[in-house]
Amino acid sequence: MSIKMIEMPRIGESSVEGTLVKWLVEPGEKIKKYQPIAEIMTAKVTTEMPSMLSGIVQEQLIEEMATVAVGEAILAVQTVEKAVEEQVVQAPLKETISQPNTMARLPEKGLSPSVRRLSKEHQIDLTQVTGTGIRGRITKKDIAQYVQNRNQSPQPQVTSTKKVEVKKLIASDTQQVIQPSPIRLAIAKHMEESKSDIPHAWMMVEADVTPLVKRREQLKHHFLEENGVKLTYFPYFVKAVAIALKKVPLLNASWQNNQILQHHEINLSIAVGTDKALFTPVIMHADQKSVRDIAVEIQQIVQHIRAGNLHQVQMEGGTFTVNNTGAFGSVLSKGIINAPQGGILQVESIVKRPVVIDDMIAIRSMVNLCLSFDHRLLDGVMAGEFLATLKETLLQTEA
Amino acid sequence: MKLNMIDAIHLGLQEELVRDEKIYLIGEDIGRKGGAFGATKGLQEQFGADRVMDAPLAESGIVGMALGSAMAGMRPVCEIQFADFIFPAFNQIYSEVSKLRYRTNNDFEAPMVIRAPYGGGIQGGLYHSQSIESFFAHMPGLRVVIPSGPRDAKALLKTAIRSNDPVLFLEHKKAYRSLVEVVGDAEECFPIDQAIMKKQGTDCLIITYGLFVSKAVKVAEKLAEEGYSVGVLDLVSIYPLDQATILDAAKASGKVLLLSEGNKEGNVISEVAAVLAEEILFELDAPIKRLAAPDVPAVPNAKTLEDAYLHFSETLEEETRALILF
Amino acid sequence: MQKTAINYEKMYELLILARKIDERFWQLNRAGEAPFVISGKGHEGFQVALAQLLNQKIDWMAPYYRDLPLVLGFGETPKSVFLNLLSKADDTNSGGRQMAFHWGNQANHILSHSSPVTTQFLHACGVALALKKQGQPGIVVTTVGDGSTSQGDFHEALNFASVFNLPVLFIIENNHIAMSVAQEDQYKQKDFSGFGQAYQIKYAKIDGTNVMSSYQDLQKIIEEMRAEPQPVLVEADVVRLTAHSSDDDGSYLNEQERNYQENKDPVTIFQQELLAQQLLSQEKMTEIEEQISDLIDEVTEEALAAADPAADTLEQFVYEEGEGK
Repeated sequence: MSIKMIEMPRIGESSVEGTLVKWLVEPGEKIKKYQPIAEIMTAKVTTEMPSMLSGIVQEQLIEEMATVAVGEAILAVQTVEKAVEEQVVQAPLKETISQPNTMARLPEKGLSPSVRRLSKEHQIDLTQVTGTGIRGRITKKDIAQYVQNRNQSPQPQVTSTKKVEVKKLIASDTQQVIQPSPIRLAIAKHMEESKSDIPHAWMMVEADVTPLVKRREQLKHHFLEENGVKLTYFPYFVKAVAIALKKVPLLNASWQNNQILQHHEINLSIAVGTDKALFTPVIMHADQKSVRDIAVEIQQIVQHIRAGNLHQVQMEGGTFTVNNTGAFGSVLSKGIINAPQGGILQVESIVKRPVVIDDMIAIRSMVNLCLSFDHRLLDGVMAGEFLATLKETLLQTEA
Repeated sequence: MKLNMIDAIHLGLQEELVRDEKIYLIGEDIGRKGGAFGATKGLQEQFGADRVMDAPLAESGIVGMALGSAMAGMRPVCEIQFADFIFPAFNQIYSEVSKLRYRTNNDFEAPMVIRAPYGGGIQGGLYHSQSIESFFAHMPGLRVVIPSGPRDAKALLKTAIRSNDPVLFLEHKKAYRSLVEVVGDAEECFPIDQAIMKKQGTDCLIITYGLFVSKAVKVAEKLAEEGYSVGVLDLVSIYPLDQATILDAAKASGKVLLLSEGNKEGNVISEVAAVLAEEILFELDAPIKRLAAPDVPAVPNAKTLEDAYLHFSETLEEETRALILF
Repeated sequence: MQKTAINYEKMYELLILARKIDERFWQLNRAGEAPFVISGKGHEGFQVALAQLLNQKIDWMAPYYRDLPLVLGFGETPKSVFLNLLSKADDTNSGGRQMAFHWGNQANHILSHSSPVTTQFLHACGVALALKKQGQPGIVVTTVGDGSTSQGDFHEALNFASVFNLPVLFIIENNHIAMSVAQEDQYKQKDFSGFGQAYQIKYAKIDGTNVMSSYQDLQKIIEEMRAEPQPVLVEADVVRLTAHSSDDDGSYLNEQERNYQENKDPVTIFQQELLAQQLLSQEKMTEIEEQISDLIDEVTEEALAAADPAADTLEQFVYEEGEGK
């Protein structure tokens, strides 16, 4: 014996729902297969609906005159049939339809007609272009990007207020001319724009992170075992910045075209450097993630960068930047804001220092937090409030 | 034996009628008169009115009755007097003939041929000049075959008659008497599902069918004198397309010119262009060029207007040259 | 063909079988198991008689969608019509490809037909032409509803059959309503005798709701056709006891139309005559009905459990494959 559901049937080629006009059976009533159980109405017909089950009516699941979708359960019936009867032979759809292997059909490194034309027009040596298409195919977009980079590298004055002499450098016995890589050129351009467009203001606080250091010390072995990732201090700072930005949202904004664009999402760019380049991948919705999540995500990003397959989309959407300058041993630095964001926070080295607490000297783990912010967006008062909030957040990290 | 296309078709029909008693011909004026163009001249006298039947003037009736007889073991060959008159039979062809095998899960089949003369350039006006193939090139289950000359016409028609699938066999009426060549013997049958490479070429490929194949070959020969190597591919099977041969042929030069007498928009050659773009975009070396009739309802009667309608085909040589130089 | 005694029991069995299958089909539709039902309820009388008069070995049939009784009397089995209803893999009509009630089975000499109406009239002519050419005996029966008399193929077929003198029995199943449009809005003739005259072929009108009279009328016609091959047009007066289809509720019928239809149920009429003439006892009838009910219950379960067509057969049989059929 088991409880089975009778569903609203599909009657008519195009019906999607049905109305239960009248119940013809009551709970507790014994019904036979094909016995009419209800009067139903669809877009096309009004009809009696027979049961496909024999048994005892358990419950009417919808009321009279209710309209429900085809396939929705309307009546529960306690059946006496053996389960075997319910076996229905169904041809499995997914397994039987073979999927054409689209990838296999694509040409190895085929150049599309438009790429051929563009490379000719711009006199591009295609071996110098990095393809982002499937299997490294050079796409039309790649060519456009390449051309843009090439054009911009010697002429950064396009958006810059500073006039730079475009002069071909000449190598000498003592000097060598190095042609920067496209990515170096892109970084250079972006830095220049950020620095020249944004009126930077700067502020630094000292923060006591003794509880945080203790906490991390307790957890780090267990964390490595459980997640396969080393627990560093940085994820704690990322999380703390996210919390502080939530409390002082004015820094999580952009000054654009004399208007302020307030971001509701807190997406933190983190600066990750290699020997050649600087990447700013983004931790999306950092405020909604745990320290553990952030730690794991940063590790994945670093792996992507090392493998050279960090996607452009992974670097898009950032609303504020956190920079782990302490990793290089720095204790003080002035970050350049990652335009069009509103600020960047440099997290310096954590150092043990004697500090005075309640007129007593104590040895505490201290860190300098250096904030660069867009002075058009906010003033020192709000920036100070942000840093104070951040300090408080860090101090409250439970040991 | 050298024959023109109408005589080659006549001979093909005659040979098949001799070969298989299940074959019979039916159409308007094909018996006593021998057909509007003479494709069946004398065949009623030779085979009797049961094998070469004059039908009442009703195209749906001709095709529908032929289908019924095919379901009961006969192999009818229908003649529609002009392709322009085929539309009363459209429902029988589309809903019945093309779907019979599929809808009966292979229980029934329709071994039948529908012959129809098509094409303009003979001052036939709107309703004796149309190229109607595109309407029928969207019917899985039906084959649409168009021969480009006497030898192919006979050898393809025989395969069509022997096929167990229904075939719409379209004959360009201007090709009936203008093309003459040596035809094959009674057993020469060409595959009806394969395109034919009429001429190899490495600078450019013209893909066409029917009457225009001979025109394309002439242009190719002329351009050869200028030192250009132009290929000509005859589609033969308008539906379904012989995609493998089309793609292979197009890869050689990467430059393809498509030529058809039907209206340009929605033409069967547009489907060929789509196949090329989809499958071998990276092998192409120039935009795919289509030369087809302007999008007016049909070929007008007045000579000036008819010439204007067909003018596109006169530009074949210069368009081919332009493509070679592209 | 040798004249045999009329088998009333067999006809009653077929009538009840068709009726009860029809009723089960509607139940399956209303329970959401069968997507579509189009009924022959009310059309059964002459169909049951006709099935007895045909010889499946030599005769052919080009039916339409209201001919469940006819195809059941011409080789289709209860199982096969249930498989057809549910579009199962082993549906002999189309392997689940066609909508239900679209018949077609070469082994049973039943032609395949489509949904655009009346095309089968010409196919029937073609089969008759083939029989004639092949020197084979046999007649071809084809059916349409009264709505189809406006179609071009209807007239082309009558004319072709007349011109080529083809042994086709054309039957108009006149239920006086073409889906929803009333008779007077379809045609202005009082009956279809004018078509017989126009095409110079024999015409007869029969009471298609009455098995017994239909049997006698059709027997005479078919005997004539066998003796001298020729086309005949028969108008079978029938009733439509259901809506047009399961997607229709017949709400447009007026009171008068409804009453007329319901008073002419072929099952009731046949039962009354069989009892009155003492050709079949009430006990025998009840026994037949019970047996058939049990059979239908059994077949329903089998058909519901039968395999659906495999998805990978979608592209099969567009053209001839491999070595052919």
